[in-house]
Amino acid sequence: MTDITYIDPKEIEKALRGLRENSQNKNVTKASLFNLVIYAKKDQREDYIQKISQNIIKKYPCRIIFISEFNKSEGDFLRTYVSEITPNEADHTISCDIINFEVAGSFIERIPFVILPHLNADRPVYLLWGDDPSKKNPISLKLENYATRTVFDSETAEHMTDFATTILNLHETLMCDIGDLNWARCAPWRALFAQAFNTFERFKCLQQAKKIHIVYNLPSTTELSHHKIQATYFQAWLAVKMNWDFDTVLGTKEQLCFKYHSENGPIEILLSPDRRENIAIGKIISIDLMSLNGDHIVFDRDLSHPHNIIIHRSTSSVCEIPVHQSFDKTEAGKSLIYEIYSQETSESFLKVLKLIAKCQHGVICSS
Amino acid sequence: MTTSPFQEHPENQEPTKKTEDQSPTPPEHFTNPLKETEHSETLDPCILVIFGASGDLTGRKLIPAIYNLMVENQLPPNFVCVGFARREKTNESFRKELEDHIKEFSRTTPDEHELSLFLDKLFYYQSEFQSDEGYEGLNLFLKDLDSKFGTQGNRVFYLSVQPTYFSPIIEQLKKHSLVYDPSSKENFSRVIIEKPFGHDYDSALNLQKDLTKSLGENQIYRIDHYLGKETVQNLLVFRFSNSIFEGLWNNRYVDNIQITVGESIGVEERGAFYENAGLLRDIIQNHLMQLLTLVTMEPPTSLEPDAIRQEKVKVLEAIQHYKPEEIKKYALRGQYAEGFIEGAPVKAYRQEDRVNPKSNVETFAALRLFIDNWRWSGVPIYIRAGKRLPKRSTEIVVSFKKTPNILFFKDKKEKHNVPNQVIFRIQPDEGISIRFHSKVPGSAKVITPVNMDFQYASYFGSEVPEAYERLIYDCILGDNTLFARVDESLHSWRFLTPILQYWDKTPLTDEEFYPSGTWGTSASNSLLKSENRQWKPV
Repeated sequence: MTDITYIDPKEIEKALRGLRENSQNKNVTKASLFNLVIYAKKDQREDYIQKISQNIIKKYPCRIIFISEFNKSEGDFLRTYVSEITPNEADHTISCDIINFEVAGSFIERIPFVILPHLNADRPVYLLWGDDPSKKNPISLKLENYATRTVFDSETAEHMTDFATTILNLHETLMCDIGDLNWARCAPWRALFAQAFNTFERFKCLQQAKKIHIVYNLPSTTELSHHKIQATYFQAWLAVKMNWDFDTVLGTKEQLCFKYHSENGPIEILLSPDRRENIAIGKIISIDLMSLNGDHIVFDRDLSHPHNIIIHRSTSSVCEIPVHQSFDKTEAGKSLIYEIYSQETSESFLKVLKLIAKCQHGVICSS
Repeated sequence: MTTSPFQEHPENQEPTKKTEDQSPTPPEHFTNPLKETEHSETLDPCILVIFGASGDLTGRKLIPAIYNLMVENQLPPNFVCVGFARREKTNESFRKELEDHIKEFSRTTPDEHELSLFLDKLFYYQSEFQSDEGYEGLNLFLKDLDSKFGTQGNRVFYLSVQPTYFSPIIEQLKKHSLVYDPSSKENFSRVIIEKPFGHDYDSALNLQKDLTKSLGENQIYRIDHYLGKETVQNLLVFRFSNSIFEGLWNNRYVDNIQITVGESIGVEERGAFYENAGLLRDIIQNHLMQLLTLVTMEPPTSLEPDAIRQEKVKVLEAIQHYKPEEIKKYALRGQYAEGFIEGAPVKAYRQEDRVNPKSNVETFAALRLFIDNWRWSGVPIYIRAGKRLPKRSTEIVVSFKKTPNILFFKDKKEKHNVPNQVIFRIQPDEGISIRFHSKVPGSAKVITPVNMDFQYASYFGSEVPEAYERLIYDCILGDNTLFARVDESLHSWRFLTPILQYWDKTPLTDEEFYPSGTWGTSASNSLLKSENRQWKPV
């Protein structure tokens, strides 16, 4: 970032007006469909969250309030600056405000008071909380109380079971709806399964599943520790939807084996990593399903076009020609847009969290 | 085929226990528990067969729409599209032809890989429309595709053909068991019919009789692409999800409603079609009457297709039919003469290809009508549509009654007190405007009308799906809300047929020719002027 001019928080609206008046294009409309309040720890997930917020604003003009918390060791401060962004580079008729706060030490407690006057009053407030919700934070509850919807990033969680328990508790106490980026990220797979097993004949195969193998992406270099979350969410969603009873989960850092019981007998769901450099970390690469009656269905990402899923079904008597289904081409921020526009806390999501909360502490996704 | 990790360890495999006789029997109604909510949409596998696959509509609209559905993950994975037409073609030549069309007409820039995946789903089947042998072969062809692609016997037939072929094709489909019993729970077969649905009231009734010999009403999807437009669907949302307007949406507050469907193009290559149809059949009977129903209907009891269509039918039933002597006065027509469009000279209708030089066909119409119900009694509704008008524009304008001229307009001419208006811009520049008065800053008593404007493109980006995408998707889904029910079509014909009959027997007068590039005949302006109103400038 270049040429940041810090301002006094009381000058925020004046500074925004100044940006507009000094703009070369006078024929610009300020647009804001909602308020997007983002909290991130400096040098942790901040860059990634900055990137996705830019992508959101391109599609949905909004007022962004970005809170970046610096390490306590840097002292106590609250710095403010504002900027303006034109969402569509080809069309300069719309612009959006970004209000940035850099904060450290005890000044963090001022944040809820400072941002309140700058929320567009008649617009919903979406809060993206880029830190582990199970860690105590002096402002989290205050901000969550302003929010229409709070979106967490389970990537920041130290232990998935703690994360699940915390979110379930928050759901009981908070007025706002709740979501998670990783839950949103595996939405295309959930939709694909709902689509692929939409007829009774196909669904039978799933009902009689005995082994499911989910492969997720773990590239050679990754700073993230929670690469299994999407696959874990997906298998839990499947179990919840199919009414399978959770038995146990066993595993190593990279592989997990979930065991369930259904009316047709035991089911094993194996999660293991593979390496694909052309898709994001943690994304599901393939799902392989074997049923008791010998039906076999494989969902696999096309190697060179990973947003295309090749579905190949074979039974004891038929081997179908593989068919394709496209996911939307992945772009950072899409999951957040999905979460923002999801109207309520997903019932399935809560059930999935309940299932995860039952797992042994530390077995799945812990730093 | 991808190798299964389970197959690599045969010792892990249990012997196959299930046999045919142990398979569970299909339940009466299968509910997919994987759907996120009751209202989540999942599509069943199917084959879409397009009759008239060599035609203009297929290349320009249908195939690009289906391609975009695939790209946006809006097709079932097990999906195949078959083109049925009379010309000799191979799968390869058919695919090549459509590839070019997609590149030219798709609203999204085609991705080479996705395009090649899509083209793999396209097949061509050549036959005459009335050949028994052809349909027998088609049946076998589709069954073969079912076994290869897992499409499970589900069928959507899209009749993009001349209306004269509707009945014979459907008869053949029935005869060769390509359409199923309407109550079939196992498989579905649906037929999409392009407009025009009939030529007048009697022919529409006869067509319906023909169709129902082979199909149930729930299998017939009468397409009107206007209903697939986002802006048209938004009419119901605007009216019934916003409390501030509905209270004013009646004859106590509304002075008049105007609907304009303008096109700057002439009949182009459709001269022969237009000679048989004319503007009333081409635009007013379907598109314009649908817009009218959506803007005036009562709130439906639910969003179920039949609940909405029931309310639309009530509006059509309530339209006051003209007495014979009123037709001349309130149903005006015109035909375009030479003129200029965007500065370039253009031909008169009678000079167009495949048009009778003495043609009596209308290319413009303006009607004043009333809806005889509690809500709209006494509110005139003005509709106009035409070819070779100054610009392409479809708008609905709801004008409210003026305030009394007591305060701000006391000493001014009546024309300064312009009415408040809600303006729905259906196309282009899709959006909604509300017009109201505002004080000009500084001036003591100067009042001016200003617009509060909502534009789709600004709020939601410009990637609005094409109408055909939504309609084809809905048909595969089995949702016929956005398709016209037979009684909608018949009531519309019942109102318009006497007008057509009158025009057929009355030659056009000199005053009924309008220069291309103008807003139609002067009589259409006089119609409103005589009632102290005017068309809202478009």
